[in-house]
Amino acid sequence: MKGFIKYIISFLIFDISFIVIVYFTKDMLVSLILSLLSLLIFAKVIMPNYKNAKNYLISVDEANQFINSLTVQLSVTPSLEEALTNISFCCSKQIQEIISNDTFESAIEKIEQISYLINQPLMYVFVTELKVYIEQGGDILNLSSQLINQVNHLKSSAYLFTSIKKRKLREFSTVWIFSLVSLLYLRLGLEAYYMMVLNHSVLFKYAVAFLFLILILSYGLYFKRYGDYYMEKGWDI
Amino acid sequence: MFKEKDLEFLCQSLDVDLNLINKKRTYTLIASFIISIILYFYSKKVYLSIFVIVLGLLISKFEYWDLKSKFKQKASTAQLSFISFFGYILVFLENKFNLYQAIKTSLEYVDESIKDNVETLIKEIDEDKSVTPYVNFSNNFSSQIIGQICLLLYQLENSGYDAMLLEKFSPLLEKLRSQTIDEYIEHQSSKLDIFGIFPLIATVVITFALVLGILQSLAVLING
Repeated sequence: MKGFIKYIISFLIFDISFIVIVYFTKDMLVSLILSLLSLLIFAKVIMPNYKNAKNYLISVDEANQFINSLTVQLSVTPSLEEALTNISFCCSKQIQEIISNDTFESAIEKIEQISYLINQPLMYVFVTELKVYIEQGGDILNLSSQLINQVNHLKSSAYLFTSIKKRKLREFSTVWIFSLVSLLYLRLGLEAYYMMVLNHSVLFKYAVAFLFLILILSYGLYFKRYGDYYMEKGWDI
Repeated sequence: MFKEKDLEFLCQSLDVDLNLINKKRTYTLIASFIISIILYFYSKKVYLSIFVIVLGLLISKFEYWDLKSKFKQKASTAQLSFISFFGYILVFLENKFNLYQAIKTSLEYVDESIKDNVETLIKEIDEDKSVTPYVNFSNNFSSQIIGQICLLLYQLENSGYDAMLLEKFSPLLEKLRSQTIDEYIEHQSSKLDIFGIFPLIATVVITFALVLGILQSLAVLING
């Protein structure tokens, strides 16, 4: 189903960009090239980077939820297995499957598996900490206070960076909308002039095509940055 | 004449061959000079030759700006990685590890950007029990807070893990974290601000093309 929606969206992106560019440039070849470029950038740059960023936030949320819940549960339930079962209702489906899977020999093995699934460095630190706790005992809330502090910071900074990137995207899109609206005004309001210039000047036609080229490339570049910095690194700040 | 004072330092820090950079910059300048002379004899327009020379200077300067930007990026990455690394150390210290064990265990989780530095730190601690390994390690970072943290870590080990000293770490970490996040946000925001220029460039190009197009159309109409 998801794949089907992806195809529909890609088809719409191609169609809409083709219609819009043809409307403004009256050049089929240029419109076809630019629409193909927009499709390519959407499929190869925008979608994967947006997905990366989204998956990163999900994994941060899961790590935060898991570490906090399990620590609190362990402070009231001495058994790791029982604590794990008790928190399973607030975890994602994949984590629930690992918790209910009987093929693992111990609870710590299940948590190790969960840490591979979430894939956040702090989860691996948590596993090491739990192994120490199992061997030596102690007050889990005291032992984990620093880790909980870190995982909370990780979540807040991840959301802070995401909100900044979204705000910048809105600002950047607003300027583009203004540029496109003024071009549309020229095309609709001064149609006779627009067509006259378009027919007599090749330069103008290519300038309009250049505007769409810059539009497509700048969104591609933006989304490349949207997904590639901070997100992939997993710094626990 | 155009050699920047910190170019050698930048090349050393980034492990880049200084001679190669100098060669590239010299060739760019020579090429722009030759092209400008050819252009002058071909078109007899001085401004075109000056434009090419300025372009050559800018391209050669760009090499330096690029190195400087990479250096800043590297320093920022290392600082972010240090925060994670120090956080892991605190987690392990809280779990009754000694400092050496905490550093060694953290090595598994640290970011690649400081992994070599941490390995060197461990190696130096094995050979030298003085403050020197910690000072050497802190020299890899520009932040003074990191220097303070490293000295405190050494004091902690020598004081037999004094709880009072351990409590001092959290506020320092908070300070370093907020400072680094602020710097990071500023850096990334300025990088994203560039995107606002793209629609403006496109609009300016359209406006110029439109004016020229109108003039062209009028010329066609007048001349029939």
